[in-house]
Amino acid sequence: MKKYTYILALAGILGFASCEDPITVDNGFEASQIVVDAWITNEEGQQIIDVKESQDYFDNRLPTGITNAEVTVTNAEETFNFVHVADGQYVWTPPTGSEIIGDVGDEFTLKIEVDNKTLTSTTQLNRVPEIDSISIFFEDEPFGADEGFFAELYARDLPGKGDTYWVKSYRNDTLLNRPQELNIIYDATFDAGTDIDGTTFIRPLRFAINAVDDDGLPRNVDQGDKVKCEIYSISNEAFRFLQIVQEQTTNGDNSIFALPVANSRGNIRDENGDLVLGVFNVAAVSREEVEVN
Amino acid sequence: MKLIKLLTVFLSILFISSSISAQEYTVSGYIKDADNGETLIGAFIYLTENGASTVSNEYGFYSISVEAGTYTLNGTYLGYKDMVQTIILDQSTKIEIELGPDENTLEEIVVTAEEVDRNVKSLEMSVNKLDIKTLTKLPTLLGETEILRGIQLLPGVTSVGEGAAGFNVRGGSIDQNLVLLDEAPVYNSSHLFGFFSVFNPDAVKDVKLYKGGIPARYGGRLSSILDVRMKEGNSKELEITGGVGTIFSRLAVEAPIVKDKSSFIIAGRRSYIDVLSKPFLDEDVGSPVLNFYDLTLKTNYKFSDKDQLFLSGYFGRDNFGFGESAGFNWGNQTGTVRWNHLFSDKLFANLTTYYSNYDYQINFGDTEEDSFDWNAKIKNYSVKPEFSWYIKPQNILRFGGQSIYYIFEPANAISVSNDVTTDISTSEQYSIESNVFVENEITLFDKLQINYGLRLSHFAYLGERNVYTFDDTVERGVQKPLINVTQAESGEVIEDFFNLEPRFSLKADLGDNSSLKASYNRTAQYIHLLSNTTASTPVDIWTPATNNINPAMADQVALGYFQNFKDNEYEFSGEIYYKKLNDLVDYIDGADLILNEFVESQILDGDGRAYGTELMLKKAEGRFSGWISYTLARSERQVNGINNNEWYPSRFDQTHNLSVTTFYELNDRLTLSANFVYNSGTPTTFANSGYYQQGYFIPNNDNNVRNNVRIPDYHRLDFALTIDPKPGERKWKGQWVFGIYNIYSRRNPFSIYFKQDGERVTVGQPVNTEAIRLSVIGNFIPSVSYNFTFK
Repeated sequence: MKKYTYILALAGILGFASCEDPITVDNGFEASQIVVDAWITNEEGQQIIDVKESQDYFDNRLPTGITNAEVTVTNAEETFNFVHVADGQYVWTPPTGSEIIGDVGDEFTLKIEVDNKTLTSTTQLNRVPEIDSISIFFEDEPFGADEGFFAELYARDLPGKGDTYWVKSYRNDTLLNRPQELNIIYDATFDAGTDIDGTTFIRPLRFAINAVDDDGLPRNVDQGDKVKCEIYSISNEAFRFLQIVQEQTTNGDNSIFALPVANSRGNIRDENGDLVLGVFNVAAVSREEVEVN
Repeated sequence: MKLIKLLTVFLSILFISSSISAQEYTVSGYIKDADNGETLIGAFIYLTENGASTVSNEYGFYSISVEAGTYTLNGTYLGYKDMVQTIILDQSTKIEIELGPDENTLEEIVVTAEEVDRNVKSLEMSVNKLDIKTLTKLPTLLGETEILRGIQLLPGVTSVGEGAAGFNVRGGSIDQNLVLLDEAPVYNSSHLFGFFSVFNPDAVKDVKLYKGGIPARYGGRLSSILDVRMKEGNSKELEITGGVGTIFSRLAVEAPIVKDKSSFIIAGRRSYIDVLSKPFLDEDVGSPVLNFYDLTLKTNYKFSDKDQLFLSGYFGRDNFGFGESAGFNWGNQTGTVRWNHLFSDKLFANLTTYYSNYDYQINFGDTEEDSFDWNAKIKNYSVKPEFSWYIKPQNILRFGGQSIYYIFEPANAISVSNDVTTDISTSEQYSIESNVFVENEITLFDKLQINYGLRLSHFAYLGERNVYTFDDTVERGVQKPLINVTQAESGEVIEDFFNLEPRFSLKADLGDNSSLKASYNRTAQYIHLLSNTTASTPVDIWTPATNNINPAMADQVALGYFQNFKDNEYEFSGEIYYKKLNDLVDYIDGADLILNEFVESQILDGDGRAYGTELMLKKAEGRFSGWISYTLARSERQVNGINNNEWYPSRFDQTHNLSVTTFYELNDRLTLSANFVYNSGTPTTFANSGYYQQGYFIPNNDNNVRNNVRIPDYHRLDFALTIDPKPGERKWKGQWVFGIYNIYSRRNPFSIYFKQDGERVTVGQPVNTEAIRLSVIGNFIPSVSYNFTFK
């Protein structure tokens, strides 16, 4: 988990003689499976669900789309049809452009019919806190990086345990999408199991909106940079899913303290009750943008 | 109370058997090194006339009771001149045996510190002793003498990889080894993660590893006991030893306080990686702290012929940090007080009390508005009386008990976020582990020796705390649901466990030079190290058995054949073993083991099995000496919730494990040593597929298998050249050791992991992935160290 990474980053001075070499291995890939990428929001505008295939880990290509699926999302009152556009991408377009699919607290069901299979998942639209501010501070060598100005996201977890969020950050409209930049929050802290609740996001998470460079160190912001943050409310299941994504995609940084290989657990099941790959989540979103001056 | 009854019955049976003997007298005393007064552990003492013999105990004490008469008393220890003395035994006598160095073997390497035919003649099997003098001549990483690296050259001992903390014995995990420093347990035996051990070679007298046939007097862990005994300190004269190495420097001072009554040793080490690396570090990194040190102390006082007191302590610390914004340190502290008392010439008693603590501290944040302070501890206090009754040379009865009080503090943590303080500490855990044991060693018909014993252990998990009850795991990767919370009062027994642990070993002499040995032992372990990473980290915490976590149990049988050749110049041993392990701790996918009040919900329990063959051929003496050790083994686990509930090899399973260690004396002063290690690659798990979610490419292991592929084999060759001082009496003696580790620069893989390559991915473009081989040592590493003795 991320808190390990922080501890071990400190201890990462191990490398006095270690080395890492890219090699070719046979990973024994057998067959692709259906993947559902259904992270939608209750914001205005188009919502997108991808139904695609998994692939050999080393294929280094975009996934193959599944084009013959029927995709719907329903809430208590309405059914929203997602129409295939291209390459396994299914889109719901609000008829007048301003409808949204529901409100905080609503329950939603995803249903996908494909090749005689029926995949379903149910989730709830959770609340999201407002962003108080994105502040820029001068930092003296934060976490071993160069000194400079860095951004921090100020937002306060909503009181009551079990709120989970995904913070997406952008630097000059570029999404920060490195595995080390994945920023998920459980009640203002890294994960469950503590008494932290209802406070301002803890410092390492506030700070985690900064970009990470090739060496894994935080990058400072420059004058004129635009820093944008979005907080998405996610379900606890989606949080667990992303937590394992975070652990597994950054596991190499743990060096000799690597965690065992583990699969992220989605929340979509087939007609036999077996889990399929992917997550269905409906998020409420809050966002804020500042320019560094 | 059932137990006391049992003991009484047991003892009275023995009484009957021993009381029907003629008028006997006892010769007893201590056996010591004549030069420095250090007692000798495991020395062989015998009477020529009737062959009555014994082996000195951990305090150098021996006792032989025979009928009145005139005898020739012999004291022998490899590397020392035999002592021969005529005694007239018409009353019980105390004789202190002092052995001087054997001039013939003065500079010869002696790869075993014990009597010459111990391999064959001792009842012990699955036991290895390491001699410190041998270790100092072994080629090592950066030239530092390393006890834990040394024992990995023995059969049956493996490690998950270079730089990993701890060691694995016969397919057991690292927390299944009880590491004792003067009887106090050491919970984290490593400095700098796993590169160096906490044991200062200058202060260590004796190292003994029990891998099987564990006698009833030892217990508490499933797989092994590493019994490290410290020196008492030179009781004859001031002696200063030390060394300057690549990584750290050492200094030890030992001297008599009151001649022949009291002495002390104080030994310290300090690393200087930080000092050396400073000029090479980027100034922007701030002022990194990176060091470790340790201090080992011991003193003793002999009140009378019957009473002796020993005080010993250890304090060590590793420090890491970046300036003031972040720091991380950890270390062990132990303190032991021991009192030896002779109730009679035949009844030796020792009372040990100890304190041991392992703790770490982590802190982040240099402002008051935002900070994070966290520490964790495992503290324990123990009392342990033990008695050895030397009834006859052919019969020793040992009995005793122990009680350990544990305090587990998994996390005392305060998080301050934007001026709001939250206490995120997890509850402390308390428990008491107690045991009583009785062990009888007896020789029958001259050719057959047996040791049988019984250990009764008890563990109580105590309040005060919240008691959580968790249901079974519902589905793979899902934590166990919390179904009930109650409150336990201070001292209330929340859950307790009783276990009977039978122990048995047997030796049958097949001739003068060979023997057959067999053993069985059951061991119970009541505390577990929660560690889910490949190599254990210093932040891993220990947990007691609770109402949700069972104690682990192991049963092991071993059979061995032991033979010496050419007048004990060559020793051979071959053993096979089978070990069954129950209720081992494992973890759900993505387990959260630290700073988690509900850590019990993350734990799965499973079984294990380990079996193998261990062969060792040793040339104990001569210009050319050394040993070859080979192990063929398998270590497997079965856990519901992992690998589709089927058996799979453990992360440290190594099919073949070969090591060849040799010493060649070029002349009186020059010794060349070499070390070759070959291990089968350890198993690991690969992701075979991947899929996209919101632009992230997520690895997936399609069949949910564990450890189904192996990383490439490990092999390495090291050399060292030792230059000893010129023979003869001189105050200052210096020794140079030049070494090269990993001479052919093999990049042995520690692991292979998958990741996406370094470039930031443009949205809508594919993620590029690669497999990376991680080698902890990627090159040959030369070293120079200088050791000295002044007296």
